[in-house]
Amino acid sequence: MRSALLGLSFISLLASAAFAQDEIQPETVGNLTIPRGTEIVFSVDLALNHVVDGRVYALNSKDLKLLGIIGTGSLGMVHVPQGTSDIYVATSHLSRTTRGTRSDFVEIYSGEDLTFKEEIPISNNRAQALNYRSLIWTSSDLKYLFIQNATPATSVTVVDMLAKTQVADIPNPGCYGIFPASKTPTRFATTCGDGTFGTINVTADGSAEMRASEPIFDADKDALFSGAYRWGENWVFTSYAGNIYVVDVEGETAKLVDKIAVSEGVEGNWRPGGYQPITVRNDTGMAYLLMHSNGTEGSHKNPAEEIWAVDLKTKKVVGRAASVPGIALSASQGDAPALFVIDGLKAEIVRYDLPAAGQAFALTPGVAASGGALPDQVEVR
Amino acid sequence: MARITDRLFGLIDGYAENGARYMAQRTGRRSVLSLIGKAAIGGALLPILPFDRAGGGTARAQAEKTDVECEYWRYCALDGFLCTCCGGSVNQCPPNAAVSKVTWVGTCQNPADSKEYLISYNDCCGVSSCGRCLCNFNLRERPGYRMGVHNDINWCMANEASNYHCTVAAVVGLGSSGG
Repeated sequence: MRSALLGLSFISLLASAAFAQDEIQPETVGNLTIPRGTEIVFSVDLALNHVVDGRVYALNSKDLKLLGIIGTGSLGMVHVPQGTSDIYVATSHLSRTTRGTRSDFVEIYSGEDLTFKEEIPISNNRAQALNYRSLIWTSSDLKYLFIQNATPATSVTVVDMLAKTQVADIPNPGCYGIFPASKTPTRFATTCGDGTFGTINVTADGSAEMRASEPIFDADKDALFSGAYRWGENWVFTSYAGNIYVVDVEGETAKLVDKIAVSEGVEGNWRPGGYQPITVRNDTGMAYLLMHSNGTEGSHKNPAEEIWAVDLKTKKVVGRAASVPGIALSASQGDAPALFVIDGLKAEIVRYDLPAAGQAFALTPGVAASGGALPDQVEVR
Repeated sequence: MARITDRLFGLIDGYAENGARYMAQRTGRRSVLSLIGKAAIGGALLPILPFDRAGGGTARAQAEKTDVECEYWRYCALDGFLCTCCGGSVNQCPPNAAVSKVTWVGTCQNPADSKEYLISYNDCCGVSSCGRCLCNFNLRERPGYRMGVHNDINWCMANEASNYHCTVAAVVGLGSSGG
């Protein structure tokens, strides 16, 4: 009886659907595309509460509307290179999601529609770390991808992105992070616990030696943050005690170009903090720092209370402005200058518009949107 | 191969402990007391990341705090989920999570006796992340170029089942200035 009634209902449903089809044009389901030229903010979400399920949230930089999501596996590293629209992810997968055999890959995603393009197997020793941007970086000619390993002994995997294969695993003992040279694509520098920078040249057969610089920083008193930013041919670092270090990595050994005392003489013991505490606008040479007050040993991951603007050319702080509790920031390099900040307490991405070149520093709060469950890296391209 | 690996990790652990002792020597008990003395009392867990905003970054060791709270003295350099909230204890992993083979260390002061202790932070591994009692204190923590005192990496890295679940804090010695 019941099945007979269900049958009648189904027939009447079909009849009404046929009638409706006369009235409306049936919709076709497909995919949206991202308009060419869209500036995209990438919020890299560690997803620590479910760490096998990391994500990148791609947001439109203008309104922070979600454009789409890329899955990054377990503690995946993310690099958004300039010079290509692709997105590189180095990650680990377990054969049974939460258990089983570990397999590590470089995964290439399209920056145009976020689709998976291909994968390259790599050795299973990459650093399963929080998303520090210096742990994965391309060579300046995009031929190589360098990936920081830790077992915890440290080394760097070199992937030939043209041959689609891993070509080397180069030890960088006592050192961590990758800062490629711009003129010599086979060369990169790494920061070391004894305060030196190591410089590594990758040879065709995959062998390499590391050459130490003179001491550049003191890891006890003034440790460098991992999250540095490229400015022209130099790399710009900030430090636990509140200095900016401009480092030239182009030669056989790295050289300190400038050291700028940012918070010296400023009341309140202000220090940089967070996971990505410095960014630089290439065209203006203006650095922006996440700063917190009452800084002391151990406060180096505290969220920001202010963002400070530092002119790298005049070596002066040119402005300070209130900030959300930021733990990472990135500057857009396009025509509409803006900063994108991760609010570490709300897990949001916040847009601040910057003044045009030549105008006094100020931050104009703009839109804010979810950056995922626990974002700890932000990039814009 | 396993023996070589064990020896390597042993060497690294030794280096890390020596490094921690060295830093404790350099910092000294008086300055540590000074730092903690400056720290504010209180500071509830913040909704996403429990950063020490009010305290200026030092671990706010407080005698009355229990081991399910971030301000418990042993957690001065712990960044992760407390195993005490995940079925384990302050120094024991939950029943189904394996002890990590390698660790990072911190030197924390116990307010009950004012002594400093060397703390080994083992991750517990092989189970999906716990998601409870996220803590984040970073006294003398450094980036990965000082790997033995670095806490922003999965210390289950040397385990076959390398999923991160939670973190314990075991006393493994006296801090050199607190002996």
